[in-house]
Amino acid sequence: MAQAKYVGIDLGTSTSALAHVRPDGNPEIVPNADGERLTPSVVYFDKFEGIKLVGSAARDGGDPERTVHFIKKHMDDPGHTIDIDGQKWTPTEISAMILSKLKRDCAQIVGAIRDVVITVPANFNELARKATVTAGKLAGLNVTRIVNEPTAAALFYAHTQSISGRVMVYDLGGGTLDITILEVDGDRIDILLSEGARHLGGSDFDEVLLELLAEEYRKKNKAELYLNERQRRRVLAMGEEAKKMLSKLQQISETIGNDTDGIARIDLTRDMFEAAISRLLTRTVMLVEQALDSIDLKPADIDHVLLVGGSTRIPKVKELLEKQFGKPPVSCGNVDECVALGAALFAQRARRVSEVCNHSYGTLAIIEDARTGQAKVQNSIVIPKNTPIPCSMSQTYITSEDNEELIEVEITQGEDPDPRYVDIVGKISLEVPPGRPAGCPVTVTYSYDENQRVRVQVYDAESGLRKDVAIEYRGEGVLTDEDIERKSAYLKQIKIA
Amino acid sequence: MIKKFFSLMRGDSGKPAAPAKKAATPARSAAATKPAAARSPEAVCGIDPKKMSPDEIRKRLAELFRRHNAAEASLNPELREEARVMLDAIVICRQKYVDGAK
Repeated sequence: MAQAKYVGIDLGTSTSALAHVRPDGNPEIVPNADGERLTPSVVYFDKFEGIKLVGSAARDGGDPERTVHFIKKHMDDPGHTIDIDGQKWTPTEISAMILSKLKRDCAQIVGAIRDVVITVPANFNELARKATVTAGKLAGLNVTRIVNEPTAAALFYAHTQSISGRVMVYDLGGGTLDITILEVDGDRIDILLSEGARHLGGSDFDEVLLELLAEEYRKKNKAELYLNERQRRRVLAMGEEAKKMLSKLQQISETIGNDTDGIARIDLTRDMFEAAISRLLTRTVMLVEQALDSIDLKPADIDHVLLVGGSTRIPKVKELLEKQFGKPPVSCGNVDECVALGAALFAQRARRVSEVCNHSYGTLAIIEDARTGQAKVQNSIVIPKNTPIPCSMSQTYITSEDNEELIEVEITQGEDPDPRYVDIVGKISLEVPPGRPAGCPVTVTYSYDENQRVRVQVYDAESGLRKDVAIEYRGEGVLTDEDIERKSAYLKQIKIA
Repeated sequence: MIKKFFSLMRGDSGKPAAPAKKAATPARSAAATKPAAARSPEAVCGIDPKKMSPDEIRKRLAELFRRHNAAEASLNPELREEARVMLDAIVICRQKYVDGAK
């Protein structure tokens, strides 16, 4: 079977999609075996035949205790497992099942799928990115690049529209909000900045609506609307449909209830929904302000505001953006599909996109205030976030103690000067000769490449010794190569439908 | 522990700083020991609406938002939980003293 070229996958919180670039140079979504362009990111563990259902069949039927939703929210949580019939499944393995279905189904149409680009939210940390690559490997894919979702969407937008100038991509999907500001010139894209927020997406709005329905039922029937997970899931699905209706209508009526306490008719208005989600929407406004402040821009400096992600269909979202920017935001086609379409284009033309560091990288150092003489441990940033990549930056420090024989550099990821608010993603130790005084200069050089890999070199000027490592997060939750091989072989045996 | 030339950071005379004492674990302030969820949003955010203008409050909340929005994606689950509580408080104060003041 011929191999598909230039394949991109949007592995989303609520839905996933696969696209490829046609011979005419335009990307297109490839439907799954069920004929759907979007595959719900849901996995159901069948009890009787051992089959793992993925997609609509998983979402719409079956025991909710055996159904997994929104697994992407847990990609960086090594403690999060799904226990089914005594077997524990990690978020990486669940995601691999979703990717396996896409790979297998779509290969029927476009040919064997091997090399892919997979998208991730801009604020995915090192562990979540690694978990996504591993999920691809477990599914038998070669993940050539991980690309930020707003970048992919921007590439699709630039491809389909004749635009140039400064664009802000506002990607509000099922689980996260990503803001990316970039400059477009023909098919050349230069990313200036990416900011993101977790637990800020459609699934969070659905949870708010769930509580609103439950509260209204409590008032009318003096009872709880749901008492178990199956009932909760049913109401959540109803809430999601109500949310979509309220994007088109000002008011709807819902009949809700349970077997024990009867039914109630609840009138829901768009105003009620907007009031209920107002705190989440305020966070979106603050993130946009933060993004603009980070690169000293004002709303008037943005030429186009691009909407991506299903949650941008909520009228209040568009209204707030229009108020902030003084112009209506735009979308290019189906807001649910543009990330996958852009990912396929990225697979073809990644070199025409210049990206930036997703995070700041640095080290812990004692910084002394010359005025007060006070010294404290701080996060000393070597590569600031949003530096164009590839890049290489150095910082020189001095040893703080006499007779130091081991220079240890803890590699941090994060912008905050307070060490408490950054993650340690690696460590490099350099042995040096004994008997030296304090004050020996040590130069730390960080390099960040297009594949978002970070290398660190430590150079001790006094001895001429140096050491360098690629940062490979090896904390809890990271599978070894042997684990990946073993789990991949196991997953190949599982029937996924 | 390695130490930075202070002069590189602040542009002073270039004299290396004196060797620092070994860093202790940062002490938590008395205010910080009470769980954030048990204090008012204003106390949690360190704002006093009687003494601060809406613009000062907006800037303070923006600083806190930057920190805790990033912390919500931390690899440390305790920090993520703290961030969730802080973000709630930040938004409540923002709606009350910045958006509400417009």
